[in-house]
Amino acid sequence: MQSSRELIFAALEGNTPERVPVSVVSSAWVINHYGMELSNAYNNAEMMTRAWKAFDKEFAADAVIPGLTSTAIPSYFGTTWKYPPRGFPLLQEPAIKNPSDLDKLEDLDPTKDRTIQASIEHTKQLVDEFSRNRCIWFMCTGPLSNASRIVDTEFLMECLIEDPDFVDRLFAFSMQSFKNAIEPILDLGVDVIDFSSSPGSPDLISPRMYRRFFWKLDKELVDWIHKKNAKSVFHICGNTIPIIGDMIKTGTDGISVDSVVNLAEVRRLIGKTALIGNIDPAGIIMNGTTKDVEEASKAAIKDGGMNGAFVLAPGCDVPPTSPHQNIKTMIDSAKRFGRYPIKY
Amino acid sequence: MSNKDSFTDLRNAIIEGDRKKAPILAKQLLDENKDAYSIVTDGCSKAMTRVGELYQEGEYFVPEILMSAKAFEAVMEILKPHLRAGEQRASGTIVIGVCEGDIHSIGKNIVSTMLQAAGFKIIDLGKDVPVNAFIEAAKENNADIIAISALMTNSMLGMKDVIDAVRSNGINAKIMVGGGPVSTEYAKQIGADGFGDDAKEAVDVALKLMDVP
Repeated sequence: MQSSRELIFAALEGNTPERVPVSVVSSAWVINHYGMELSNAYNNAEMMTRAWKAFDKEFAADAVIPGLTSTAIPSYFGTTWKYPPRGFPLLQEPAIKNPSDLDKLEDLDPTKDRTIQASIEHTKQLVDEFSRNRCIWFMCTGPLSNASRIVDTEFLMECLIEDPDFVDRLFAFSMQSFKNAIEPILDLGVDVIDFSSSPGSPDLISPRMYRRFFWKLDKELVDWIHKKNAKSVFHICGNTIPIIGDMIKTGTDGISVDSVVNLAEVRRLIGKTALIGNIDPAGIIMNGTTKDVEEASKAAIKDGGMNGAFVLAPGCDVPPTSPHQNIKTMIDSAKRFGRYPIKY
Repeated sequence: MSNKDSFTDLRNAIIEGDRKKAPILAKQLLDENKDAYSIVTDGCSKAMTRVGELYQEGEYFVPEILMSAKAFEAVMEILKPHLRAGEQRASGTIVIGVCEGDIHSIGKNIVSTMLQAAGFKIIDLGKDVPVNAFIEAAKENNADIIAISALMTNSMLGMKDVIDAVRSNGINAKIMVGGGPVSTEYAKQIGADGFGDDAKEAVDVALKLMDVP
């Protein structure tokens, strides 16, 4: 019998595993579920590891998901946040308000940041505990997502038109910061780096603009992850069909798609590249019944994974208020209905 | 777009999102003794309507529409001192804001600008707005419409709290909702009076709620 890790590797290599693997790509939900405050947990390796060990015992998904919170790198440079009691952190003031401020920022030194240090330590603990069986799936906001938190997203949108040189410089800077922070984590031997590049979404910018500003850096990142012997999973929020061909051309092992994307259509477009997704985090996982989750999981497997190269997962980050029965049902559905050959 | 007239260059500057050129052109029109009110209606409003169409046609995305909104706002700064009170087409007063727990304000800002271009008086409460702030602003300004935006699915749930509070406080304003995860079904389910899928639709819905043809 294939281990969880082998199931996910088979899928990410475009093959058909024994069954559909399943991955709950949301540390915010897991940390909340075990009664911990996000703002405390992200600075505390032991807390995060405790949550993931408990999650693995209770839910037994195929991956454990260490991560670096979306606030970490932007905070390093001065972005400030508000933490609602339950929910995602809310950006208050961005680190950079003028293009000239970028020149004043120094390169990121991971040893100087306790959130990054906690993430490295937490990842090491999960690698030590789980790497024989589970896939170590490291999740983080990518450099271009971080860029829209180092500046304000609206300011970034303006600069895409009025100051393209600044955008290029900001993206290059954010890429270097990302590599500085993530390199020590990759060196621990994680299996997958799952990164987002969400300001490139066709819900925000044109495919033309995606190609001009984003694509070369997304490709650079995929190449770097591969050079470090890990698999890459690449996520952009929203309807990514207009740029899905470009995303594939980065050479990524897997594409993680949001719940608005039609899986059957994307499956036709991307060939044997692995597909990760895409149960609706709000409509189904947060607000649906367990029956809804089961039906949605079966439909996703049928549309996205009839011939392998598929990992069942939420379409995007799971709202912390989602019921645990629904998370459990999604995981159990992959195990009950995902055995190849699929027969329903 | 209508035929070439005195406002064509201004309209084009707004449509192209040129926030440097647009106010200069508006100033020139004022210097030529063009009426400020016609510059708004025949220049700015028409340009912003076209911008909304370009978005719906898939020609424009957020950066383009945002820059047009900025160009429009720059023109309004020039025109404001020249608009006599009561002369702006009073389509109604709208209190607008992003739900508590959500800081995604680009969509709301665009809708707010488009509504302003269509002649509404806008009370913009910004982002991460608590329920009470909507209620107080609606009372204080005698709002005709309360417009609520959310991008995140968990904050979208807060829309219902605003609607419930509006009703229980006996406020007579219509309520419209919009933003990424919001759908017609969801709007109906929580008892909103209107839903706009994008900024252009939001203007259409607002005008309909006010019975403006």
